[in-house]
Amino acid sequence: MVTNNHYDDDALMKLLRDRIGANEDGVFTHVESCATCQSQLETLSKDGLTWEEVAELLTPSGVPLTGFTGHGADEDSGVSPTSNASFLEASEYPASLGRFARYEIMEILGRGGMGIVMRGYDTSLNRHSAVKVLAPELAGNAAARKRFSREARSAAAVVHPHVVPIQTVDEHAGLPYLVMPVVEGRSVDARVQDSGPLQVIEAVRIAAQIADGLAAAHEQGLVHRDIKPANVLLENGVERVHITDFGLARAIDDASMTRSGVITGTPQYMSPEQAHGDAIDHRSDLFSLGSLIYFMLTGRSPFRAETTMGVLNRIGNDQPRSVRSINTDVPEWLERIVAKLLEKQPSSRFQTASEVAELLDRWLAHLQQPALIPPPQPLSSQAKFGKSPRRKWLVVATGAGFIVVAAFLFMMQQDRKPGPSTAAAPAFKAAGGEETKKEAKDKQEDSVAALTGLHSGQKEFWRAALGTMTMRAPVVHDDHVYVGSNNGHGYLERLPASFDLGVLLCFRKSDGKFLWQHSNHKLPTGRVHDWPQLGITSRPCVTGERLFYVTNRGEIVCLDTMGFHDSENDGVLQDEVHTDLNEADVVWRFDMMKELGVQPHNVSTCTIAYSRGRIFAVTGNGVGASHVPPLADAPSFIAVDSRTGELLWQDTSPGQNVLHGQWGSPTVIEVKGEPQVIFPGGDGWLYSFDPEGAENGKSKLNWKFDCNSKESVWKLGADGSRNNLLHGPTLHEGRLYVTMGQDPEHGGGQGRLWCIDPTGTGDVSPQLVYNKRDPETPIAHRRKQACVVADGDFTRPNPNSKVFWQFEQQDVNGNGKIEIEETMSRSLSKIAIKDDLLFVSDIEGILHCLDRITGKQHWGYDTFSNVYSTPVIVGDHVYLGTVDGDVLVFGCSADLKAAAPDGKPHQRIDCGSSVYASVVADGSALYFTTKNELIAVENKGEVE
Amino acid sequence: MNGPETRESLLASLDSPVADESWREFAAIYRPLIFRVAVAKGLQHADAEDLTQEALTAVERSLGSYEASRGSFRSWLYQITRNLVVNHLTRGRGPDGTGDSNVARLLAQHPQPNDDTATLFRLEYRRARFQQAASIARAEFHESTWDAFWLTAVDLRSIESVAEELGKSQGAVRVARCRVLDRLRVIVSQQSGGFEAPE
Repeated sequence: MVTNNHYDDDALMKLLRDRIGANEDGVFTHVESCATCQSQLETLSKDGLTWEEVAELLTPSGVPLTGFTGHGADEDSGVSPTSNASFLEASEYPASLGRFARYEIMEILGRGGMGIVMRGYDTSLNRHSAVKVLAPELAGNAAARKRFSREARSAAAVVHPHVVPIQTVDEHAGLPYLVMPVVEGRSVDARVQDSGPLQVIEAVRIAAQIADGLAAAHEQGLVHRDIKPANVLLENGVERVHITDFGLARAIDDASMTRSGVITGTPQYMSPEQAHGDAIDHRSDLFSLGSLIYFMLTGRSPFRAETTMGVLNRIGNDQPRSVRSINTDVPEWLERIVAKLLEKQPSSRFQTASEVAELLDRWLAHLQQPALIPPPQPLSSQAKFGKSPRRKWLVVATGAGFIVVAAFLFMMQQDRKPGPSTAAAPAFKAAGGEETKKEAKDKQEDSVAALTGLHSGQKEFWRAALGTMTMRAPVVHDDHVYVGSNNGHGYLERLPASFDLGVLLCFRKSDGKFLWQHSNHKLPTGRVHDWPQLGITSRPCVTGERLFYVTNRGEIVCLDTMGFHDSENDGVLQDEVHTDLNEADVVWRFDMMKELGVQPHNVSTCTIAYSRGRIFAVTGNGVGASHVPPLADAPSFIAVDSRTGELLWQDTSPGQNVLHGQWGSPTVIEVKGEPQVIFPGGDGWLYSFDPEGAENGKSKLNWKFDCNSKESVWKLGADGSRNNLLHGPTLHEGRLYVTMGQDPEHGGGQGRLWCIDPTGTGDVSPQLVYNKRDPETPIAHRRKQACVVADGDFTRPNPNSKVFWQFEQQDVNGNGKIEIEETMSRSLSKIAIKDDLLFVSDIEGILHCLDRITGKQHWGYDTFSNVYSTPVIVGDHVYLGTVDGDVLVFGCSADLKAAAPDGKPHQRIDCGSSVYASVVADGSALYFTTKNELIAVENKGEVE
Repeated sequence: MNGPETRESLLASLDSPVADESWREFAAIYRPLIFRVAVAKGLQHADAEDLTQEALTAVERSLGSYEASRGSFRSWLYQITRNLVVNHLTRGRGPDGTGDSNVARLLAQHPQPNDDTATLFRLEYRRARFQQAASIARAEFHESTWDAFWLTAVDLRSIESVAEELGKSQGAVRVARCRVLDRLRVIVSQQSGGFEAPE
């Protein structure tokens, strides 16, 4: 309508919105030349917006969005599309995304933790295949690459109609890949998500076929390890079952487990033994099959919880809700089959997949022709839901990623036996490793079984009960022995073992009599900062009559070593409520969380260093529970007046680059007559400061050294190549030695040992990073990866470098292969040196002996246990505690034949329970610390 | 547009453990958004990716706590995601509580109204919505119509020069850009169930 020669709003709206308005031409002609109508049209179209806002909203953001392109991004992985595309070569082939090996890649089918699945067209064979490529970021890891290829090859050996065959296993441009036929159809997961729970007969048919496929693989000795709805495909039309990803789960364990997937990432179909990190066999697949049948019948997995931990906990402890209470169509016999598959104990389940396949086939036949075929004998009603599970948990401290966290946690929660256990069986058993390794260990154990128990020549002085978890070595000083633990023993009447505390215990050195304890309640914030049952993990620092340590509450505490036995309440702090003789006399307390805003990550507490009236501490400031920055703006390194607890100076150098927690401990050294305090930073750098600090409470840096290689990438879990510094460095004849590692809860992996010269100034790292935009100015350090080649970063050798040598691996026996004995894995060990021999352990259980001057390895010895402790040299022997609960005694020699004659240590002392802490020696005694006992034995050697 | 039924079904499907359209739509909007906000607040690229992943995981875990009576699902989703990200990025506060109660706390805690991270979050949310709409709308218009809009409204060129380049009258360019803008607003409103972003 034209009013006053202009159109009204309705007409203008039509012009805006109608594709081909009847009157459009007329209206358009007018509006095109009418400023008034144009203005009104703008008002209508903008509806309150301004053109400036429109520009702002639509202008592409300056922030690069690699990895996130909306629908293209896959929630399953975090593998970015750009990184996918990068390995495809340009291709002329119509509709091809690019070429990979001899395949034209037509589309990306999916991405998982392990890699990328693409539809490839083989032009020479004229057929479509699924090409699965190991994710480029994993391919950089030699171990992941090897594992992928090895597992893929063994999986390729399985030929069965219900197992998706692997046609090719190969490597192209450094990326291992495998080729499988494309199965046109969808997964059981997609099917149930779309159409809800399946009919009983359908579920039984699918389950029978899966069991059949599993039986074939199990016969080949292959365990699937990841049976879940998404890994079972139903071929279009015929609905034939195809199990995919056989044996590959193991190859991807490390990669996918530690990554928190948005969508997946809950281990809902794991067996209890997998959840523990225990060794598994084919019966683990049967448990997963039980969960899968449960899912098909009910539309939900049996063990669901909001968190991964919750799921693992439920798998281990809970009986799932009965199938029939959710789906009343399910017959009782089928419920019994599912319940028997879901038995916690593998020995209570069906013992073979073929047994399950046969039983399900017979039921299927009956369901299809009830009149003709009789039902099989039903299972006894023994296997039922809701039965009380009271199984004691055995736990393993090896394996991948968060399974170990889980295992560790379970250990903390479940293993609460109070009191001493003089003849307790080792609470840890080796598992998760290779079969051959286990066998080898059994052999080794057989051969040295005769040495079990204390050596006849060595007298046991006394034993004292600790809590249930003791991680650090005791300190022997004057007439006392001090050690941190948890309250598992409950020495104080007012605080029985039911109180979970961090306790610092003091014993009399002569007879092991308990004298006093300092007690710390758990932080109310729980696992973010503290950890249940973990106790005190800071080894005390004692000087004169003062003891300094860091509590589980992020405080530095100064205690009077005499306690209240000196009939005095020492120090500025006088308000101790409990002043009995068995309580601690606190001199002062410095709360780093309150005073400095420190957020310690999972009890990251250091061992304090003391020098000339000052104490030094790494504050432990770390990432939150989510493992993601930003971190609290708090110092990482501090110096405190040892008499008053007053803060002298602080330093925040690692800042937002802290990888995880900060567990390293400071060390005070003297170089050319000048004292230095060395702090291991949570960013993987070693920092040297002037102990005096600078003015105004600031720090004064001498030098800093990046212990990680610049291209390494931070990742939690086994395949991360960036590591933390978990210990303080060791100074020996002017050289500084330090090992690298990660929180052992996050698994093993490549580590490194450095020998550096502490006389430098400034950045003394071996390399500097530049970017091609400004190739002459070193760029700032970055947390996750310091040198990102794809962004134009590059490295140059640092002329200021102060490296003597580093040891990562070495083909010592010259067989062209790098064995585990020749590899420095992640380590929690400090360094022990005698003459020119250097000893160090790693968590994979290798004791290394190196030439301290050249860094050349003499030998590596596999203890077949995890090792958390530092080797200790006593006279002509090297003592090493293992997580398996032994203290091993080696000869102190560059010759392995002398160090471990006939491939065995000189002596194996069975301590009855895990030894995390290093052995401690003083003039007359050796102290072995298991997780729950302190044992003093006679020392016949000399202390180094 | 989005009645309770639609919202409930979106919620139901979001609650399922697999990727599906609803989640993808959610992730497509929020993933780049959280990432941008995190980078703008000074996080390193890789850490911003981690935070993004972490935030989406946390939101996904919290889906069960949505109550239809408390308003539209989308506005609820917006609020909890914003609260999570803003609180996480607010330095010095640091996390406390166990993983889960921590998340719950971050979800529930409203940022200061004038918090610049919250403002940034809101801007980035609208930006994400509009850019998503632009990618849809672009295919619906003739190229010259689209260009008339983009060159003038986003590239900020003069009507005059664009009209000349496209061989159209200036009035036609004005009409064209109004038509595109109107369409963008309609798509944004449909896609977001009428929920744009609170002030």
